[in-house]
Amino acid sequence: MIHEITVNLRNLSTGYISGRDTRIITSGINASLHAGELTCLLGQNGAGKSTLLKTLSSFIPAVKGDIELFGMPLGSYSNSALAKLIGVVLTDRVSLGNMSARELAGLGRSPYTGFWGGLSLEDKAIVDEAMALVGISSLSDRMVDTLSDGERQKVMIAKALAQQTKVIFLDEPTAFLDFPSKVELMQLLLSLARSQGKTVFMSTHDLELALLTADKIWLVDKSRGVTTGTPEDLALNGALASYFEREGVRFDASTGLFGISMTPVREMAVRGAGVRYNMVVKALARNAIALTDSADDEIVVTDDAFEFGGVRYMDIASLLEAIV
Amino acid sequence: MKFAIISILVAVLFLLNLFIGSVDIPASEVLDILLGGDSHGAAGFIVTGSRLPMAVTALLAGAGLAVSGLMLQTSFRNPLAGPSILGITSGASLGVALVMLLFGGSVVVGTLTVGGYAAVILGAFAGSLLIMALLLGLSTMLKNDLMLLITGIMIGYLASSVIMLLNYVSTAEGVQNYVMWGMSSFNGVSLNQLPLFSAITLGGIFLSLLLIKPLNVMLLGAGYARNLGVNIKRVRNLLLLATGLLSAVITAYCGPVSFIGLAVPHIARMIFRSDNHRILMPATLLCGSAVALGCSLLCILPSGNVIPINAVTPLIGAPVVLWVLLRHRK
Repeated sequence: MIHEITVNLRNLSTGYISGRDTRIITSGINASLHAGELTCLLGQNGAGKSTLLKTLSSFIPAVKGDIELFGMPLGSYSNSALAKLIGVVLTDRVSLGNMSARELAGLGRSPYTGFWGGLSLEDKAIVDEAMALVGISSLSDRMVDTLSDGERQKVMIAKALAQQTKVIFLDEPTAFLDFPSKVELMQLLLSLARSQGKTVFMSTHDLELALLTADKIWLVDKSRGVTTGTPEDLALNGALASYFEREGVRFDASTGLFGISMTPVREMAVRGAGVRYNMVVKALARNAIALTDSADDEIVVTDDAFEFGGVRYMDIASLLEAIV
Repeated sequence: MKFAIISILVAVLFLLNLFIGSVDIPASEVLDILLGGDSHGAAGFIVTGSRLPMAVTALLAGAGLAVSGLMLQTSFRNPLAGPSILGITSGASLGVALVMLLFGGSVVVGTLTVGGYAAVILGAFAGSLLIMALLLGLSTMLKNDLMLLITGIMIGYLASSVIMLLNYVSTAEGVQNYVMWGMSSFNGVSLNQLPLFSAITLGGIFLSLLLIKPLNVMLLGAGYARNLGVNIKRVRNLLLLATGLLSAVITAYCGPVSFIGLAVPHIARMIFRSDNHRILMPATLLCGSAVALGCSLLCILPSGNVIPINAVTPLIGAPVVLWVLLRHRK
C-alpha cells in the first residue's frame, strides 16, 4: 500500500537566523512524511530534533531549501490556513488551575470558531469524539492541574485531534511518562495514524519503543544530517548502529534492537533450556559474565532449581550471591 | 447567578459611595439631589460635583485596572504581572514628577501656560504614552514575554531613580504635592473632566473585550497559540495598546493606584473558578469595580476624614499576592 506524501522536504537546512547571523543546525535534508503513518524522529540531545520540528510547524523559517505541505510551499499558507492543516503537541507544560480537560481540548476548535470563540453543538461533538478516541472521556470534567503527566499529554493530543488537522507533530510526547504510559501513548498514536489516516510525526528519546512501533524512522545528527527508512531497513543498512552505537551500547543485528554491552569479567557455562535458562543467561549478562561451552564453572538449570558447585539454589538471587 | 450577586454588590457600593462621605448629608436629601431636586446649596454641590464623579471614577478605574492586570497575566503567563509591572505607571509617575517637582506645577505648551491639575494630567499622559510607545517599539525586538517583563521592571527602576533625584531639586511644596498625588485617590476627576475620562476608559475596556478569544488561546502559551492561528504579534500590540491606554488615563487622574490590577483577577478566578476569558473578563471588570468602590468607601468610613486609596488597597492586595505565591510554590 502506498501512502500519500503529505510533507516533503527538499534540500532543507534548519537553523536560526538573527540579523545577519545564520546558525545552521542540520543541512541537506531530503525526506517525506506519509499519510496513515507514524514516523519517529530520533537523535541525541542537541542533534536538531526540536529545530526541525519548529521549522516544519512554521514557527521558525527554513534557512535553505523547500518544505512542501500537500504539494504547496509551507510559506504559501496563512496562519489560519495552517491551523487547519497542522496540529502540534509541544513540550511546554500547560498549567491551568481553573480549566477542565474538555475546555482545554475544546481550544483545539479555535481555528473554526467565531469571534468570541464559543463552541457550537457540532464543535462540542467533535471535542467529545476526540476525547473518546484518546480514551479520556472520563476525565472531561477534571481540572487540568489535577491530571497526571500522561493524562495531560492525552488531553493535548485530544486538542490536536479536535483541531482536525491531517498532520500532527509531537515534540517528545513520551518524555516524563512512566513506561506503561509510554507504550500506551505510542500505540495510541499508531492507531490514530492507521484509523484516521493522519500523518503523525513525533520526536522521541525512547529508541526501543520507536523501533518497535514506528512505520518510519528519521535519524538526525549534526554531521550526517537526516537518514530515513523503516526501522528494519535502517537496521540492515547499518544506519542505526552507526548513529547510536558507542561504548556500552551495542546494536543487536538479529533483533534489530539495542542492548547494553559490558566487558566480560568472567566466563561460565550454563546447561538447560526454556525461560528459566534465558533468565539465568540474562542475570549473568547483567553481571558481566559471558557464556562459553566449556568452563570450570557450570550452572545446571532444572525444572525446580539452579545447581551450581553441587548446591541447589531455589531462586536466581541466591544463585547470584553464590557466584558473584 | 454569581454575576447577578456581584452586579448587585457593585450597584449597592456605588450608591453607598453617593450616600456616605466625609460631610454628613441626610439620605433623604441625597436622594432628592440625585432625583434632580434643586436648591440644596453646598450639599447639592458635594453630591453631584464631588461624590458622583468620584463614584463613577472608582467604578471605571477599578474595572480598567483590573482588566489590564488580567490581560497582562494571561499574555505573560505570569500570575504576578500587573499594569505597574510593565512600567507604564512608573512612566506616568515620572511625568507627574517632572511637572510638580521640576516645573513647580505649571508647564508651557507653545504659547499656552498650563497650570495646576491640567499640567499634572498632561505630564502623566506624556509619561505613560512615552513608556507605552517604547514598549511597543521594543516588543518587536524583544521576542519573548520574559524579556518584555524585565524591560518593564527596569523602566520602573529608572523612573523612580529620576524621581528621587528630582525630589532634591524641588521646592518643599512641590514634594508635598507629589507625595499627595502618589497616595492616589478617586476624587481627582471633576464633573467637567468626567466625560473624557469615561470615554477613554470605556474605549480601553471595549478594546479588551475584543481580545477574549485570542487571550483564551494564549493561556496555552505562544507556541500553541500560534499553531491555533493566533497572530501573536498583532494580539500583543493590541494588548499593549489597551493596557497602556487604561493605565495611562487612570494613573493620570487617580495617581498610581496599587494592587488592584494585580490582585483583582485572582479574586475573580477564586470566585468564578474559571480561566475562560468569556467568563473571567466580565467577572474581573465587575470585581474591579466592586473592589475600587469598596476601597473608596473604606477611605471615608473610619473617621470623618478621607485617607488615601493606597493606604487601603494593599490590605486587600497583599494577602491575595501572598496566597498566589504560596499556591504556586507547590
